[in-house]
Amino acid sequence: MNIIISHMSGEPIYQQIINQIKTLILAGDLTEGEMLPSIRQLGKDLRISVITTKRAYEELEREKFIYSVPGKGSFVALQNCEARIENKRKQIEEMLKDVVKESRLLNLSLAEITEILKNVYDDMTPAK
Amino acid sequence: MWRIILKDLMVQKSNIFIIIFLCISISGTMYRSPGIAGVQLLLGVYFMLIYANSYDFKYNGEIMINSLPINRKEIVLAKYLSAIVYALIIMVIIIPESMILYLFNFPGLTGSIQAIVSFLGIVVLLLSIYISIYLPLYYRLGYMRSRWGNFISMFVIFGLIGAMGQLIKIPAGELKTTNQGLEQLTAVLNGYAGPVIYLMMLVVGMVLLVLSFKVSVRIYKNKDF
Amino acid sequence: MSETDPVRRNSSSLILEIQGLGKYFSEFELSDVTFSLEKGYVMGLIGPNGSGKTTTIKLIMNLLKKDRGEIKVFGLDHVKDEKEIKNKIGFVYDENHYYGVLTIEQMKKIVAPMYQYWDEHLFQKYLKEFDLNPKQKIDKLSKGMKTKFSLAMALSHQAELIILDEPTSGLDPVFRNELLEILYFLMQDENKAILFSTHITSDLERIADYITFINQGRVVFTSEKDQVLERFSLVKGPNYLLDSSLEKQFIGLRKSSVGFEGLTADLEVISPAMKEKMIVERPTLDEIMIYLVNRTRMGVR
Repeated sequence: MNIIISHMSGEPIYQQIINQIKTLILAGDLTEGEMLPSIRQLGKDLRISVITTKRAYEELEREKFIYSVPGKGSFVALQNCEARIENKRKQIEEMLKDVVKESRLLNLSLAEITEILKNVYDDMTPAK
Repeated sequence: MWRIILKDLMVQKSNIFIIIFLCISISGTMYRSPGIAGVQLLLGVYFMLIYANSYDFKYNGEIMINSLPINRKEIVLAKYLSAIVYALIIMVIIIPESMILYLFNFPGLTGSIQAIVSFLGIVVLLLSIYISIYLPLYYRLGYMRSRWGNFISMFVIFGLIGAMGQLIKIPAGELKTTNQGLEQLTAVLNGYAGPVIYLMMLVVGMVLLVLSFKVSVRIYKNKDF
Repeated sequence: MSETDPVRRNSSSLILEIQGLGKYFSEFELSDVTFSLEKGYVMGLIGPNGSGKTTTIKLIMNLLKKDRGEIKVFGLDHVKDEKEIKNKIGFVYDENHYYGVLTIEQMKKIVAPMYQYWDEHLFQKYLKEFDLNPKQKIDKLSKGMKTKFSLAMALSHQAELIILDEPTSGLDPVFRNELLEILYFLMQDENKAILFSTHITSDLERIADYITFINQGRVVFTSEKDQVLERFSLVKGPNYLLDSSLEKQFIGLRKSSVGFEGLTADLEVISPAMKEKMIVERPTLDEIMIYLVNRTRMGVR
């Protein structure tokens, strides 16, 4: 499992860890039942505080991505992947609803909205 | 606590003075005059004690020592015992060496067991007086400022010895004095006093040391590093 | 900006508890110092030179007599149970107070038997790892090697609390990195705790779990490091934006001819419209410390 964090990006480190682990799980790189490094091991490997890694794991556990067995460690939980992906899609749909609502205030056409979306997408994609 | 004494001994390795001094003391002094030998031993202990203390000062070693699992009372005890250990070391050299010279009929040596006993008695007293004065001063004033305290106590002791030295020249019996104390003292210095006197000297020495120890511990316990 | 101690959750897991500690000197006073450390965590003690970090550590180790307050280590009183506590404390100080005229081997012979659980095997391992020759006189070691030797001694008797007082001052980043590696390795054991006092805060940016900031003898704050870094924001912007109401939001401001930079704990108070025109960053511990210290110096609290 590879986790790369940036101290410069402005995004809280625990959040970066959460996001990356979630992605790994959803993509299948981390399989169900697989053991994650201990919070201390992760802290050491990433050279960050143990409280940070603990926080990330606690959040992941709250969202049911992982579970912990006291004395043993943390493991990837059984993922209802389709349900999760469906959930995520629904969230995106809701966000898009807001975008459309706002755009209507300016009387933007679908083509114009799509253009803005394309620009934003391109801006957020790191240059090769 | 014994390890702290070991530390004081280890730093003595480079103490040139004591080595030279011990060589000079090789002359069977103990048999010539127990009094002088006692003073020599005292000087030896003085050199070693000062030397060890100078290192404590140079490296500020007390900070490290006090961070170890040892309490302040033990640290002070180690210092007192170290002085006694130094005395024992010097005695272990002086006594057999004098005895050997005596056995080989080195000229000028008189007396026998009496001399040794007398020597020990004197040593106990002188050492006790010296340590009892110096160590509390050392703890109170620190290494640098207590050095004059050493000289003062030495002067006092030498003054006493000097005075007593005059008495040596007067053979017992001819001393026209009713002062029992002086007579006893002369007896000791000449090596033929009774055991009671030695016992008294031992007791006085012990009492002095214990009192001094208690004072030192109190001073040291309140010290800030 | 004083902060109540966030650590006092589970008393039995507290390795270090300091409550209302005070010490009076003629030119300096340490007052009302309160903070705790649970086992399994690293506490960074930061503050400018002379702020009271070393004094605090000396008080914990009973090298100085406290005037007020309570210190408990492993749940025991730090004076009454001094010996028992010090058996489990490993210490590394800024100045090397070992007897330089002795060799490493000799110094070890003196110190090792004083500890209840000396691990000779581990000590030898550290000597090898640090490339230290046991027959070498301590005087002849470089500062870095002296610190490594102190560390080897501190880590070889099953210490549960490691106290480091400015162990890396005067040492290069390469060594500081090595030290961090060792500390990270130590912290894999959740029964240990580390108290690390330094004015080189970059050392702590990574490993510290908690930060206690001491300035002029008082605790300015004691919190989780993450929270400290999240609470403050470094804001940079053009000078024309500054007006009296904006300035009030800043703990400290540095104005230059080409713009301003300031530290704030109240980012939410600044309107989004304003924020658009400024750059907002996460500050480093150094920056937080600098702004807070300067604020106190100018008499503002």
